[in-house]
Amino acid sequence: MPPRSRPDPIPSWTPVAMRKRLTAWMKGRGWNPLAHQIALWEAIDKGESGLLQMPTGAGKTYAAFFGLLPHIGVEQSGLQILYITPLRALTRDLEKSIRLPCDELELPLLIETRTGDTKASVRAKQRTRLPHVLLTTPESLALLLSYADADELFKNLKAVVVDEWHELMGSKRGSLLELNLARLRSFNPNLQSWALSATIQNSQQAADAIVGNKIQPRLITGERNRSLKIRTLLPEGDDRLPWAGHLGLRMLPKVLAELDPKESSLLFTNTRSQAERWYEALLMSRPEWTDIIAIHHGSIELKERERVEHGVKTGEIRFVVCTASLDLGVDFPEVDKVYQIGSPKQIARLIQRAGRSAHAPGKTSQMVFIPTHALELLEIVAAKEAVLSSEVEARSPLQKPLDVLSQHIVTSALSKGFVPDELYAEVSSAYSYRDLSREEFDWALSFVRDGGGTLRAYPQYCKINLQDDRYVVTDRKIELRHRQNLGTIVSEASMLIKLGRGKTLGTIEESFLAKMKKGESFLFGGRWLELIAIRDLTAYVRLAKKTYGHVSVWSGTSLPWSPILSSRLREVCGFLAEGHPLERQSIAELHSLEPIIESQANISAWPHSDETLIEFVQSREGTHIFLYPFEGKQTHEGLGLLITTRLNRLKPMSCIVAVNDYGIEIVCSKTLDPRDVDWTAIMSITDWQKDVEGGLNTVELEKRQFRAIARIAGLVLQNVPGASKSTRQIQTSSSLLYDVFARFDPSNLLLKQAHNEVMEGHFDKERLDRTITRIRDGRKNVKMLEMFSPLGFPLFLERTSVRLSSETAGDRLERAKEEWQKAFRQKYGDKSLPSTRAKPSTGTKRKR
Amino acid sequence: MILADTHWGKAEVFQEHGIPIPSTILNSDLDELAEIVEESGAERILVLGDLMHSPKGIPLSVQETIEQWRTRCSIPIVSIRGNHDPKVSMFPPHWNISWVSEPYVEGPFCFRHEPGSSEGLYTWCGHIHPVLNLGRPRMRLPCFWLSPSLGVLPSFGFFTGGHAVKPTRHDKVFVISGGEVFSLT
Repeated sequence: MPPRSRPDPIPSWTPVAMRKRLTAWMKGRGWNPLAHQIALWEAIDKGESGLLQMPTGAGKTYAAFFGLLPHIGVEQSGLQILYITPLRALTRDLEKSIRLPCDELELPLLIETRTGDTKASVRAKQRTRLPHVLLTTPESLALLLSYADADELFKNLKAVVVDEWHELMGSKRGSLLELNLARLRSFNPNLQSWALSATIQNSQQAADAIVGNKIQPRLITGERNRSLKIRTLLPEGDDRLPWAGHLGLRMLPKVLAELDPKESSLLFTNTRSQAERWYEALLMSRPEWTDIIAIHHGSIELKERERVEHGVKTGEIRFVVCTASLDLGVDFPEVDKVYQIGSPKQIARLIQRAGRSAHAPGKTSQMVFIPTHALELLEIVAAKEAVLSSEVEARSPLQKPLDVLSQHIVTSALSKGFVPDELYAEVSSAYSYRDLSREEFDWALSFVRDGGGTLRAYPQYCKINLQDDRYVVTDRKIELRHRQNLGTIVSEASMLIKLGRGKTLGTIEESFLAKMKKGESFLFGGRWLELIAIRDLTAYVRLAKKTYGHVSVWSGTSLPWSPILSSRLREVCGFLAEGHPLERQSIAELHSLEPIIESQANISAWPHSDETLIEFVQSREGTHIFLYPFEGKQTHEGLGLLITTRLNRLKPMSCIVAVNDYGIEIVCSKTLDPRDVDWTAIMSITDWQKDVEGGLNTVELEKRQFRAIARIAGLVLQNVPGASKSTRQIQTSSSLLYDVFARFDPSNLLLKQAHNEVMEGHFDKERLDRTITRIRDGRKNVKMLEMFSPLGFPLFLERTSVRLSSETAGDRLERAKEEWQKAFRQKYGDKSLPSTRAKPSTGTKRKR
Repeated sequence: MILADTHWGKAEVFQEHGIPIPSTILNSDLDELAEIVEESGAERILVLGDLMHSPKGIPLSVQETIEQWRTRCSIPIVSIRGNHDPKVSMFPPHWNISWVSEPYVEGPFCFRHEPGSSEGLYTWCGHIHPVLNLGRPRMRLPCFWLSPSLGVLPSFGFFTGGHAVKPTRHDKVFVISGGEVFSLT
């Protein structure tokens, strides 16, 4: 629907009358206002702010919009309601659903979106006059607030609604949004702010974060999560799941048998390259499905993604292999079934994904879980328990990220300029910055003013200047560049992929292409592409004749493993240790796992839920120590470093650490007697942080964090394809910048932030602290084994396969497994041997 | 002494564009250079281009730093004009820095800024800032990269950055790590 011309001013209406009209409209469509909707409306009528927490697809949009609409615009022009979503794609859908009642009720409201996709002409118009209702993203809001007349543009704003707040809250995007909300509140102290969020554990904190530190938030919780059915696809007969790996293609035949074009389905994978592999495998097995099956991930060209989304809605596309790119976004009421390939890692994500099917109030979501390796079955048993008891993870707001603050200070100088005292008061009213000290604020201020370093260190540098009593930006170039680089989304350096001279297929990371030679081919978007040339940040390709080569790899960060899964998984193990009768709801999974359950019990033991299992195995490599805290890879990495540092004090030797989500393997070069290791001392809480850091060169990890920090703080400019020479002259790598600061300005707080991000973000300090205490205080079951146990074997396998080239990894794995089986037979006979019959991979053909 | 790509004033160019890179980098680079000159007893410095980072001019602070350094280290400097260097000399005469253009032939060698060949003469050049990526986790080490007819010098400076090169088996590579030079051939 085209926007109406000149709808100002809105005719008067009373809130009561308008609320009645809206309710009548809802009833006319057969929707009765739900309890949480009414609760929210009443809170809005009272002028309150806060959070509405409820599952997806439960009518959050109308709850918020119909609450606010009656209160706006009585003969006022300009922006009244601001609606913020994390995704551009969501704004389009929201605009539609908000327009519908307005059009049908003939309300002369101007409703528009403003994102990076919005046409320049529309954006230019909006610069002078915003619509009554604006739908936008946090980045576009930051940009609007950087203009000199921002206070004019936003002066009539009555309310802000932040959709999917749980997605933004734990990230720097969330911190930036909090700062911008604080800015909006400085224009209008009575501004109402409401967040809409899926169920999260720390909902009170989420509510606090959205309203800032000066307002008491209202927390409204909607109905419980919709009922969710989880079923696991299990291998049958002789076929068994592999012990390690994460592709899951061995389950392909079962999945093919399960897929039915009558049921519209999404197949979620955990990585983009896994999606590529599955998509190719499905196409190869069912060429007749070419037109009804599609792939969707963040690196596929936007137009193609939109085509796929549209196809799902119209029902033309029946199956989509996808990644987190479809976790949220476009509503798909048409999807019947959701598949999850591999561990979902987080309960909240599992629920979110499952919620993509039957996306409407009161329906049952269906999820089919496809395990990629045997122990994942235990994980799904644990996940089911957590879902049953409605547990979800917390998302914690970040602690005063100074890179985001530095960016915000420049933005503030850009708009009307600022007085430091006022800006400090405003910034520290944002939840993430509630503990920001004046010293830290002053450092960030001096960092953008004169580099923050010692006298004369930065003579030519000046981003902001003092004019009278306000800091402003006077350099046009700096102004322009700051706007171009606004925001906190940092993507890997990537290149466009173009098919010949024609269409763009998507993007791929430079680091992946750097390893490729001309003429080599790679799998992307389900097609084998041959690299012809790389020019101007574009990779030119043609369709390859051969169907083997590299599978595109992207270096995304993996989700941390949920603490809820951890404690549930320990319970499941404890349950196996005590030999209780199997739970009815997970009987199939546990039954399928029986051989492994038995051999773990035979060779070693299952740990009780309050106990830590520690296994010692001697081999030619030395002494292997296996430890199973079930706390996820990242926590285990930290724990592994701690243990090696302290073992080294006991006996100087070289140690190799390997981790997975379940446990840790430490290989010591010297023989170690289990009786010599005092685990209470090893797990001492004293100075643990120093010992973790001592065991590792944190510089590499910090440099990785510093990449994003440098980008956000404006030290490294975004790599824009076709950028002019003038910006190329000041391109540098964040890694070199890190070295420069570490040597010439070591007190730079951004370096400290990188260090904190490693300790908190990567290792999760608090979780590590809890884990160390738990292991120290709990019982320890130390076992001396003659061979690897089923829990430990995957750790060994993954460690040894990492060093090998992909060509031979499979063979090496197979051989290692055979050796293990021979040893098992010699010791325990044939009775409970887990079958590991090799099956040809259905994935990429190997080069012959 | 022959070196390449010192990029004096690079930090200041970044500063002008609103990126705070400390100027003390130049002091440290020059201190190191003075030390090497003293240790080696070199009588002249030949720079294979990109002595300066910006063709636009020399910021006052850089002028002061160089001025001060020249009182300690005063041997003549001859520099090939590189793509970053100013087109006209802006140095005061008492700095004793003169410009030549490529190719510059002296003794058995030909010197250039950008890679190129000269008949019969072994050529030395800069421009590329060669570094070699080695090992896991990856180390990025500046290197001397020598092919049968052309030798590329590493850039001299803490903030000059580098470009990863892939030597062929006919090449010789010498990497610099912790103050020492290692042959990788």
